[in-house]
Amino acid sequence: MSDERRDDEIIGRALSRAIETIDVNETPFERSRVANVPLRRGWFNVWNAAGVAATLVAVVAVGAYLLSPKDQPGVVGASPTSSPVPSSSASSSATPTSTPVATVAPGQLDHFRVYFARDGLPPTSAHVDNAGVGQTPADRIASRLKALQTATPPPGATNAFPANSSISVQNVAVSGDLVTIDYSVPNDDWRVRGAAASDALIAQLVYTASEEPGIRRVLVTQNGGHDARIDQLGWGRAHTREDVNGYAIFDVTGASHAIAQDGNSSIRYQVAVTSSVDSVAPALARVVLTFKDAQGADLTELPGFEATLDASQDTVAPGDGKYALTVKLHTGQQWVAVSGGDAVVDRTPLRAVRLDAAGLRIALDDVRPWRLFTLANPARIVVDIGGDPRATSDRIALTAPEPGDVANAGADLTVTGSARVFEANVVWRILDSTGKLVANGHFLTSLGSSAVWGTFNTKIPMPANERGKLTLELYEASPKDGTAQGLVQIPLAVR
Amino acid sequence: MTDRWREVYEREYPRLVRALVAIGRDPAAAEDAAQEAFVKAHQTGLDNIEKLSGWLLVVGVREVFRKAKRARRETDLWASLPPRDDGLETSADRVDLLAALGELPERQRAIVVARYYYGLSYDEIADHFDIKSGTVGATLHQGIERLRQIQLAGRLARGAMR
Repeated sequence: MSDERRDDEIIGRALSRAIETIDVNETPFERSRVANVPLRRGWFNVWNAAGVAATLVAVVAVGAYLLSPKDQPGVVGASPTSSPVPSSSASSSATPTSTPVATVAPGQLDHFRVYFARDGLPPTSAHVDNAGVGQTPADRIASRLKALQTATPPPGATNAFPANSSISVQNVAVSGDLVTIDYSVPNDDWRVRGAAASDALIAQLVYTASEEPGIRRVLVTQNGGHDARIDQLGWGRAHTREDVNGYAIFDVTGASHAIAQDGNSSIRYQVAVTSSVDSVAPALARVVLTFKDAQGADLTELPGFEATLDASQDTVAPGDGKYALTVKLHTGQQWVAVSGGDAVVDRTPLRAVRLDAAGLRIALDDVRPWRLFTLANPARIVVDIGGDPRATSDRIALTAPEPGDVANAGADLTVTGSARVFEANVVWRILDSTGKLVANGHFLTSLGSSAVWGTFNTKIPMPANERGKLTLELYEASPKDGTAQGLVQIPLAVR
Repeated sequence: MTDRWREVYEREYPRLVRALVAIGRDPAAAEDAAQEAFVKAHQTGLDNIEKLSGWLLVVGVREVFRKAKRARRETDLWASLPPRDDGLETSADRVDLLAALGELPERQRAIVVARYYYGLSYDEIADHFDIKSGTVGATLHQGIERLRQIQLAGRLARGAMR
């Protein structure tokens, strides 16, 4: 696809989403004109008049809706625009408040959750009462998928599952780490249009179905085992979370990808743990270990450490996620955890942070690129997991600017992040919308040629005469032939 | 028979109303036109209609424009759109885009919505709107380019006010 076509496609998709957010009065079928089409022509005028009256009612209803609170926390499927259910089934589905809400034991992960899509980012989860109740894994998976259909997305996310649809889960079969879900899809139409919406729905289904411990692969079929086809996209084969989360994932698990460093083992350390998700950069989980001495004074030295990311047995250890990133601390004496050493977080992708005799254990929802760097004053170990996939490669991770940010022509642009590149040298270039180079240069990170990543916080000059849609690219120039390695591409609006 | 209509109606109606609100900018007229489109489909018969969603869109668009010409009343809908914080774009961007769409010629509006919201192919658009398939691409590109300009102007205006 040409750049021009792709640009048009981006605006077209944004427009499509804008239209999708228009609140409309969804007149139920029972009250529609087509359900009440007269049998005799002579009635037509009467019904036409009724139609006008219905329109007036509809306008009043829209007005009233705009004034009513949109979300009722904790009540699923209470969207005021949803069509009233036929009276025959109203009693069974209209009583969510009288059902006892299942609770989560303290210290355990909350699996009563479903996943929502975010544009350009991996999915994110939210708690939904009773989403995941049931005796068997298949029951619990079906329960979550059912809840997903009517769940209200948290801020910053969308639910790509078509609203008010008669699509429903017919069968759920679990075999090892694979779950196969058959949906009943009227007319084989998922009512999802466009590649972006289809990708979003597929990612939501994969993440939500694999929320069940032990499940890693998800296969969706339709209407009795036929390959699911969501708009143009066929499901084809079982997907893992890593297939759909948007990262170009390089091999990042196991001992061969450990990040380790020697340190001082003669100090009795105090350790504080803090964590955040989505605050440094979207889809980025950051866990920080801060070290002080036994008297609480700042240190310049760190203990030795070794960090690895591995799959974990979430069926055996209920406190674990699908994956765990461990940071073993090599200290001569036992350290003292002063704060944050045992916390369930449950914000995608970070499930829990635990500090015990074995070290720091970070429970995660999926595999995404991760890195570790150290900071001084006070002495800290920082573990970053994920980030915006466009800003994250196997050797460069940008936290600012973020994709889509506005920058000023002729001004300095602040660029922050971390990298692990040859001789600490990061190359940058700015391209215009036709791909023409308009500026370039390079800068150094804090550290080169080590397992631990280096950091940078620098400014690059934006060209004075280039405005509109520009792309900032950062990469490592291959020591062999200068080609771009570990490229990240950040679209910017420059004015 | 009724079950089949219910299914068609529940599948197509919300999308059709949204598209017609976007194109005609009048929620009441859009709803009226959408209802009318279903009645017309009923009169024509489901079995006689190929590609129903595109058919409904075209009939609905015709109704909306017919009514708009009669009434010529453009409500200031976009200023009153409730912001929905889904973080995909700022609500200002969305209002800009929808308002910008309203500034395109009527036919261009309909074709842009048919392509990007309904996902119709060039051939389907050519077929439904009775234009040469060779001109669909150019019309779309022109429309999107105009949207881009209007949207950028809106952003710059807001930037200047900050």
